[in-house]
Amino acid sequence: MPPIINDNIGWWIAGAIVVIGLVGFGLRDLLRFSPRRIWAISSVSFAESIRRRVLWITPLAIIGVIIVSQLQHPIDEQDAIRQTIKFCLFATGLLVTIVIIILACTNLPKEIDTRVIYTIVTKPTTRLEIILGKIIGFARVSAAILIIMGLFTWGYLHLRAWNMQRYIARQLIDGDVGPARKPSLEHYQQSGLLQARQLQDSDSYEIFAKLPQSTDSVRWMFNEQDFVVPFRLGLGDVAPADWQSGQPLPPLMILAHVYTQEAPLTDEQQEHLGGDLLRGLGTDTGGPRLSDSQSTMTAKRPAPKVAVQILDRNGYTLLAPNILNATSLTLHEDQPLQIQIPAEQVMTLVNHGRFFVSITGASPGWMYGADSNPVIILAPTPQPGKFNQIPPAPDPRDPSRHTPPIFQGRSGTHGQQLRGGPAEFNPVGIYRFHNVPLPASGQVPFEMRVGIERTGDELSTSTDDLTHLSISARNLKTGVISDPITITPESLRPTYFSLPASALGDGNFELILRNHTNGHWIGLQTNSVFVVTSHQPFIANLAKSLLILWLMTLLVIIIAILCSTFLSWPIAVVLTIVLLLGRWGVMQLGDTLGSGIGNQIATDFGFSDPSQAKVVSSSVEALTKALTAVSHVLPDISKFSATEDVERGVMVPTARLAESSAVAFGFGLPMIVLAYIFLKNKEVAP
Amino acid sequence: MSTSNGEAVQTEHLSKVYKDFWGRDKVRALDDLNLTIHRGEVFGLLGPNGSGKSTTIKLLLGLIFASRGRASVLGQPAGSTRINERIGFLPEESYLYRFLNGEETLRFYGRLFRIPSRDLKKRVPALLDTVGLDEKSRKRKLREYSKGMARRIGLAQALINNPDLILLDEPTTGLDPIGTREMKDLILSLKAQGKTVLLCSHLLADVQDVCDRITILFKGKMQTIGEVRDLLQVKDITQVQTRGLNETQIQEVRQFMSRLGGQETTITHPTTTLEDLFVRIVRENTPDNAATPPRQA
Ligand SMILES: Nc1ncnc2c1ncn2[C@@H]1O[C@H](COP(=O)(O)OP(=O)(O)O)[C@@H](O)[C@H]1O
Ligand SMILES: [Mg+2]
Repeated sequence: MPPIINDNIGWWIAGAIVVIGLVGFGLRDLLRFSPRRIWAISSVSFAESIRRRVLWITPLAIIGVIIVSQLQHPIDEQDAIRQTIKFCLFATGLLVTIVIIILACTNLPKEIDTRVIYTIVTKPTTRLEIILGKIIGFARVSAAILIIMGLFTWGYLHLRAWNMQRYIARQLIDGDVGPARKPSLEHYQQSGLLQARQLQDSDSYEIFAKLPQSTDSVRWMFNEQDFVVPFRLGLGDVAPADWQSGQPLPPLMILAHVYTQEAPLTDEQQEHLGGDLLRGLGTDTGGPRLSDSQSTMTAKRPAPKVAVQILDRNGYTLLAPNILNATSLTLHEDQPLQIQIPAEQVMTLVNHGRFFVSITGASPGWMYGADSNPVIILAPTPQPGKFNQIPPAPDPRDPSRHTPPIFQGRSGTHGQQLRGGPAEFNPVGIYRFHNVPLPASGQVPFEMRVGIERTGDELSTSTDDLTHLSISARNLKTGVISDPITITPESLRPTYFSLPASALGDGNFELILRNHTNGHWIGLQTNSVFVVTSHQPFIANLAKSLLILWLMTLLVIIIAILCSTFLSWPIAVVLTIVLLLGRWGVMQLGDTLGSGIGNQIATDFGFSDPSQAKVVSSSVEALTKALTAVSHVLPDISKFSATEDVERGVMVPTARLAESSAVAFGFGLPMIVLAYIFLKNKEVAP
Repeated sequence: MSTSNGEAVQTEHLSKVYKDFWGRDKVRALDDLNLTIHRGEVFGLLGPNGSGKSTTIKLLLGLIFASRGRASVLGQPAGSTRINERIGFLPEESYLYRFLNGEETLRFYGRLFRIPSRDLKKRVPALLDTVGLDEKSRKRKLREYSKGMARRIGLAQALINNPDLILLDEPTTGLDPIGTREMKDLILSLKAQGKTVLLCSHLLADVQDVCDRITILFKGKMQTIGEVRDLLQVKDITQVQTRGLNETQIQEVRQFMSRLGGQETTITHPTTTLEDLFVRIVRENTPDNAATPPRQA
């Protein structure tokens, strides 16, 4: 199938159902379409729900929320509000979904069973109008529930926020807050706890041994860091002209040029090296122990070594250093590293298409440098001694050049580690921001959330030591670096700081981060630092998230009604839930359903006969393929997630509204048409 | 509204076989029904319980689909939505929304016909008067209605659109004698307005009083059709009815008859002879004269 169809198969099926269903089956009914009739039918469904006291469920949910939020254990005031938002929205979503599934699934079967439907379909109502009327009726019920719950949420949150603010004010006046806490509390006091901010995150981030200047041709990293260079490889790049599928591909060669420069050794490294050397000498086991100072003195700087590996496009190891025979390659001046990619691995790379060559500094006491084009790959040609040069992939920001190497920190629990220590040892983290809309003057607020690891965390008693992180901004237009400010972030909690707008120029700038606290590692991630670009009233944000919830219930109603046109209500309830959660479920299974599961099951169940095993494994593979294919035409309910943003105090992007409408209507419309066709061809007598 | 030519109802070889879940035949509810109902007449569909009367009506309304044969209603294929504008239907029990009150019910059905709200304001109370629901019961929820009241509101919803063809499935069940009388009068007045009425019943008296023509269904098959008068007339028997004769005078009449050559002269009070006909048909079609147990319709 051509990609335009294959990639959007869901949309094509949806479109085909709508067009064929409506034009082929229901043109006459479409022409009779009457909004007034639909509204009348919807009003009856709505009235039924109201008169059956469905809305009485909301006070129950509200009481539940209040009880649960009294039992919560927030870590701070902001967290208390977050948790309350979470409970409220979770209860609202759960309540509205359950109510709506039950109402919508039972409605048609019940009307057919009690034969009320006789008096409806014998009127000039088309079955399309019946389906639409029911959908709109229940959408009105869901809107009523959401409005009630929304008003409660809003009121309750304001009450709680007001309480918290009083508490914060008292704490600040009494002065019994730690130095790490105080800035956050002051921030809450100023900006309030109910927020809806628009955040912009950075384009990229890197960690260097020293701050690169625009004039530098070589950029540097410490040992344990690595730099990666992206490549794209197609069969055409490596296969000889007369190559046929099944034949082996020739091996490839990686050429890498790494600069080196001596770096000061930290005490710890010296100690470590000393220990190694002594152990190597065998003194550790028998002879007299040298004192610490002696070992420090004897520590010799080892030769600079690197390890080379290949990562897939997500950064996971594809070809480990030992496969490339590159666990520990000594660097010699002016002599590029040559690493062979064994012939049997070349196909793996071709199949992945995109990958990174990663070079990790292995020995301490050195800085490792790379210019803008440190790695190329050579592929042999039929002429002996001649090679095809495969350069790095083009830079997405400037396709006329190759992507320069990307410098990374060692990965730790919370991200890439920014090691702390005195100025000459600590690396710099750099976050690049582009085209951030900024005010012309005043302070620009930032928000940061990082995890912090400490050495000997479990032993140390001083875990409440502050981590000192200095931040300055470099205006990318002028190159001017602002005076650093120092903040003391708490691990895994939001930290707020601000920088003068004048330091950030036209919105293209870098944040320069240095960790000054020895023994602390700050974990950096893509979304660790945000600029707050604008604010919105909290109620608008809440309304948006409720609207997204409502769009989701619309889809739920449509699926429920579709199921109830051909199933009894208990089965319709189950099928509705399966259809809603199907895609999410298959996504959760994820890799488990990847290729190879067939063989695995065949071996697990002990089919020793190869032909039997083959049958089992291929049918399991076919089954999982079918399952995955089916899941792709199911709605993606993750598109309806907005509660998280409200919880985090982040403006729900308008694009999210558009996305959720697209899912609701993209899946909803064909389902409506299917429901209509089913009902039209159904004998509505029990 | 264009009054297309043709009969009010016409069926050709109309058959319905109910199938079970696996698609196997379960009940042959209607077998090869050929029926024509002319415009403006009151037609009676008679038959014992389970003979296929309701099945016929459901087929005519498109609630269920025929297994074989065709049916047309007011010149359109059965079940076409457009023709529903001109049809009124009273199901065998009043299947209505039990959480609405009488007025709301009628307003709802009125909206399905897109009757303007202004007109509905007048028509709803008028109809409720016609079917005899008083002011108080109009405001009560249908779940509180007695069977007779439910029947009345059911009838009112069938008439909300001033239909040309009215299908009544056992209209008098649940009604008291007065209600039954009123129902019959109403049917006659509908006929006087030129409307066509298809009436289903197993109550013979109802049918005899109001129907122009009848058919008798039994086990899904049409047994007989014709004008009520013709069907009940026994050609070689003459019936004389009179009033105010005493015993002596009756003896004189008897003597007079025998003088004229009349044989087996009986002088009795008239009976519901439709009942005889009905019983005869049921007997004739029951193998070994073992009466089928009446089925709940
Ligand atoms: N939905 C159904 N499924 C199976 N059989 C049915 C169904 N509806 C009616 N029947 C059968 O069809 C026959 C005719 O029923 P019906 O038309 O309701 O009779 P009546 O003349 O009493 O109205 C009966 O034997 C009845 O049991
Ligand atoms: Mg019946």
